[in-house]
Amino acid sequence: MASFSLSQQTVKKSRVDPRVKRIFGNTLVYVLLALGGLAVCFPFVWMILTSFKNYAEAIATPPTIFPSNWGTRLALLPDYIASFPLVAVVFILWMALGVFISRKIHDTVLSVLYVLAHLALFFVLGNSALMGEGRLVDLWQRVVAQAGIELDSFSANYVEAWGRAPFGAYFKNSIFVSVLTPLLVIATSAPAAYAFARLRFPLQNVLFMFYLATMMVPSEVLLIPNFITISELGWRNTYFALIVPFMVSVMSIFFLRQFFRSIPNDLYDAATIDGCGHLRFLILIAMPLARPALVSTTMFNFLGSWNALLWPLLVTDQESMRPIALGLASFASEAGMQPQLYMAAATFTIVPVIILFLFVQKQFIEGIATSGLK
Amino acid sequence: MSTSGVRPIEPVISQPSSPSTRQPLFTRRVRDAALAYVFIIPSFIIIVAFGLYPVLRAAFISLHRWSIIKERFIGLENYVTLLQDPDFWQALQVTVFYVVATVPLTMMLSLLIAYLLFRPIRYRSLFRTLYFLPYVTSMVPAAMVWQWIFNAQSGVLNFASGGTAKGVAAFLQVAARPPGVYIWLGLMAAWLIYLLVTSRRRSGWITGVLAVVAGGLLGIGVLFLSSPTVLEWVVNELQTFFPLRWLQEPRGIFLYLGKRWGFKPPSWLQGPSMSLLAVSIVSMWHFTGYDVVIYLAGLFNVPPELYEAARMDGATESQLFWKITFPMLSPTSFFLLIISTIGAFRSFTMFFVLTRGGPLKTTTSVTYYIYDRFYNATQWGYASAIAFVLFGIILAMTLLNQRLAGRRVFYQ
Repeated sequence: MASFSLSQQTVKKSRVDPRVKRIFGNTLVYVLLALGGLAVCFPFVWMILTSFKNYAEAIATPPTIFPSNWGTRLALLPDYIASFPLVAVVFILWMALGVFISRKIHDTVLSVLYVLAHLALFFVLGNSALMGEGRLVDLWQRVVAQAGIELDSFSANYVEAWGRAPFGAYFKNSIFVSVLTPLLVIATSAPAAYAFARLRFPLQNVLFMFYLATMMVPSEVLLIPNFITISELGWRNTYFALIVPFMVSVMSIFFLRQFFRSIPNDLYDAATIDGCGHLRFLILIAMPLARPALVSTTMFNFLGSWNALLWPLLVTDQESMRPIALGLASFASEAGMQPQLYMAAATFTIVPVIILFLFVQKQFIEGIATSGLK
Repeated sequence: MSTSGVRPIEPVISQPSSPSTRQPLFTRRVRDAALAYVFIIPSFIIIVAFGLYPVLRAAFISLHRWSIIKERFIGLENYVTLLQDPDFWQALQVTVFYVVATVPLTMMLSLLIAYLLFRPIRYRSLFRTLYFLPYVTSMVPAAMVWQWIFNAQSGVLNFASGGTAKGVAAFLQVAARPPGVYIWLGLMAAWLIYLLVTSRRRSGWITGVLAVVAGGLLGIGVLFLSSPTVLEWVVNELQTFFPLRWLQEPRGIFLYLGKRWGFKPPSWLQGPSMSLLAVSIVSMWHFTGYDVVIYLAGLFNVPPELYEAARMDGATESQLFWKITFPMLSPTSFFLLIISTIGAFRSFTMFFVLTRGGPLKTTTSVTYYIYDRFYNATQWGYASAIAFVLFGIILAMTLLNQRLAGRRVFYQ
């Protein structure tokens, strides 16, 4: 009775229609979120815009927003459409198809990603050898020639930046190290986590406390002795130096242990009756069940290796052994005041990782949300 | 082969039950324990070799004069030197400033964003992913981009903020002089009266905050009307405040403003340098997404019954936040506080790529100082000693936090 009269009062208090209030409130929420999103995205946008400018535009004061050759290209677009209307029609139909397919994808992020991939596919197919003389590029060249304009190459900065430093080697090193490290982490962590979660053995708690205690030690303390160890082993400028010290992650063991503990005992009992030992159970049942956890640990260790800077800086001094983060840092200090070049280099470093992240983002973010992995 | 889903059944067929008829050599418990050790050994070897042994070795090194090779045992001399080293104290001060500038603000901003995202809105996952992007972006390229944004000569930040300030100045020249100022005063007075009249509909503190804003703007209008020289000064200041040197500015923020506005802060109150603040901005950009994700998870863990019950009792939106959401989130906030403080105490990459510890060592954090002593000065013994002190600080903070939390944090 009392609560009833109270809610009556609250209704009476606000004279504004609650629907109007809700719509107003929601718009405010969206505006705030969009503003925040803009602020977050601005560095990426600015990076990409700058990477397409020429030197004069890049350092101009006041800054130019769009690369001028985009404007020239945009101005030629009507000519292009007028000359080859079929291309425009096909393009619109193609994109309509893409949007239609993307609506079928339930996950918003993946569907946006799909539209972008669909768009990219148009240009890949349109420029493939299949098209013969009618490749999109050829048609474009014809329009440009007709207009009689001299255009800067679209990707000039990217080509130049790529040629200025051995980025091929950097990428090869980074991919090798960042793919192998998480796999090894899983290979060492999953059995250990399983042992801590489901087996009973002497010293179990002592060992587990020891593992957790090593997590407390900041890596700065380990830096110098590990550097000496690596030098003594003769591992400097080898992949061993970049991989072996990071082959085990206590955080991952802890995280997987939580997951393995949540597997019901009945499942194990049933598997045992069917003649399944611990090793089989781990590989065939526990690991597949822990897939979300495995995805986030893998992604996490991947990012850790990909972004590592200080350790690779110490243990590699040959250009050919450096991973991308370190290579890029030295490139930035050598490229000098050529912002358009190092923005191009930054773009081709960032974009692959972001695309990879977008594919696994749901499981990755949820993995972090449930465990606070860091 | 796509039969992996069926495989678990295979053992039934392929493996007859003969093992169970044989007497096992060891009991099941012994076998399990042996298997456990086999499972643990690979990780144990690595952890001992690259986690435990180096700690002992670092302790050993820190007791020596050690430059690339071991020179001689000097006991605790490195630690004594450390206490008298002004560079170390400056590094510690820089680190503390950095923690204070980034951690609370990042957490507040993230809580706000998470609270907005918690509402039933469309595209929640899209926004969450968007805010999370900086966290997965490699710091090296991100720092390069920020360096360019902060650039003193052609950076876009100086241009944008300078343009905004000039816009405000132009607005003031119209709105703060008669006749414009009368409109200003009228509007503000009307707003203030409206706030006071309708104050019963809002919670007290919102009215309070808005009233302070309205009253402040009213006061400023009166001030401008009464003394045109103040207005002149403000307009001039707005027009010339930018460009700033951002990452290249070594002066403390209060010292800088003092020099500009003619007061002299005492030497202990010069504040963090502008370059450190710029680094802090980048750090906030980088870590907000992580905190948002954690806070969002915390928000979803609050039992909805609590809100329903409170709404039944006529609680307002802000009461819901301060009396339910905020206390129920305290374990999350506590977790974030510890994690971010430790993370900020240890951050290196940010400083390495953005400023290389400069200008004038005003962004040399403790970790950067360790790197500098180790890599540039090859004082390995001394660097190890600093690392141990950092370890001690982090350990002490964690333990202290844990004790405080035991009393303050609300756990379910």
